[in-house]
Amino acid sequence: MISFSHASKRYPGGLEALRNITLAIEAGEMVFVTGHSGAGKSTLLKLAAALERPSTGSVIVNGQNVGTLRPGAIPFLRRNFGLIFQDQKLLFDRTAFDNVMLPLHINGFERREAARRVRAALDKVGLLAKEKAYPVTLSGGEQQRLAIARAIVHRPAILLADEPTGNLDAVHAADIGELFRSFNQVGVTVIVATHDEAFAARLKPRVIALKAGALAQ
Amino acid sequence: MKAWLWHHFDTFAATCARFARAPVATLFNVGVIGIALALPAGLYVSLVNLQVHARTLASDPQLSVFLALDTGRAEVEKTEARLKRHPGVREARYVSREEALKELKADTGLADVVDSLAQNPLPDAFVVQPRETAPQALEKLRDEISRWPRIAHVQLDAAWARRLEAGLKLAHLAVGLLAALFAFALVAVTFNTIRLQILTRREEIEVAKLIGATDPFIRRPFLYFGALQGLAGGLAAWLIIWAGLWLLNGGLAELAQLYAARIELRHLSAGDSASLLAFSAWLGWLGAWLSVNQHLAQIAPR
Repeated sequence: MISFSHASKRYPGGLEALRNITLAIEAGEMVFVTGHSGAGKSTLLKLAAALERPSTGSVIVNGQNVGTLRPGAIPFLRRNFGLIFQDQKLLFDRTAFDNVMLPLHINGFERREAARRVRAALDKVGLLAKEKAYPVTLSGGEQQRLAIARAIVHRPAILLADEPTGNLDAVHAADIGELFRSFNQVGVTVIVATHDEAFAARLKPRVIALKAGALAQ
Repeated sequence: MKAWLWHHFDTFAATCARFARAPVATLFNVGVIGIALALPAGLYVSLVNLQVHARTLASDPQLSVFLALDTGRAEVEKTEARLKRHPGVREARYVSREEALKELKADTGLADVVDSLAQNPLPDAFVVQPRETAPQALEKLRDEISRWPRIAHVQLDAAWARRLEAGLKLAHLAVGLLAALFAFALVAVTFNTIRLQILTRREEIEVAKLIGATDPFIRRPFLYFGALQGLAGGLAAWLIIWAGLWLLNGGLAELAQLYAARIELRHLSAGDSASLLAFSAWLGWLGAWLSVNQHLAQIAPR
């Protein structure tokens, strides 16, 4: 489903975030990418989600080479993903319902079907009662769950999460872990970047450990 | 298809909502566009009115038809009958050569010169009032009559008509130039409005790009906004002109009564009104399009 072949990423200024990564993630896998800050976890996720292109080597997603994809095709590739960001990137000028609606809007869903799916997604993360709330009134854990609802509402084949438990306590982190497990059980490929080892250990996923931009053995 | 229509309707509704959220800013923007458009459009209306009145008020153009010097009485009558039958002729007045000589003597103070002539040098003539007063129609009539038998020369007194046409053409050109300038202003106003909107909605655009929105999807609400704002501006211009004419017509009614004439300024025709609205909407769209293309590329998700 996603395969890296000798992929490296060098940012302008000379920082080499990833070095010679070769790995493959199969459909339906649950994978945790671990390592210290600056080990290249986020960069690996960005390459996998076609948010950035590799400097050298290749990244293949669903049979498409991210490095050579023409810009017009990238939005359609991205629709295969559900993305959960470290800073959540919620829109604070609209309600929880409208935040979750955004991907369906972009995908061109019919209105009633879209509303049904939004409610299903909010229900899944336990926020159905707060569909009219604005993100600023939600707690940190609720905001993170709202971000997850937005990521899964269009039923993506691949869920990518960057530090989803970054600022959550252990109890909330466990909730989020359970959510990820349930998505994975219905066939969604889940890729999580985290430095929270307790969080990783509980779910017993395949672990890809990074160290200073390279795969740690 | 249905989803696509829904999306367009949704964008439309969201755009209207955005106007309603900032009523004062919307009012000022629409006002600026309206005034900018009202100036050239108002001038155009004045010009159209001027054209109508100039054609009705100015003295009618005439044709002077001169016969050959040796034309006999019978042939004069034949020509007169033919002129009066002609569909392009409203009225034809016969001026005999004797009468013309008398007029020349009386009007110009050349009595001595005229008296010294051995014979009358003037031909018989007709003064023709044509039915149609457009320069092209006049010229056509002149060419036709001059081909008749015994006609020596046809003089077209259409200089005034040509001068008026030339003057109006120049005025039209001035209106066109003014319209071009203000059209540019409209595009600039929209460009800046959209630029500010893109800046304030930067986050939303970034997120939308991250989760797979295509560029047309992101562009669409801004294009709608530009087009609707332009349309509203066009409507404002139309209302400004309407109000102006209404006020002027009130004043004119009094004046017309004093002159015992009917003077009334006409508003833009339905076709011209539709053109004004379509043009303003298109200009708004263009301004938005330029702005979005300019600024959207700068927002790349990180």
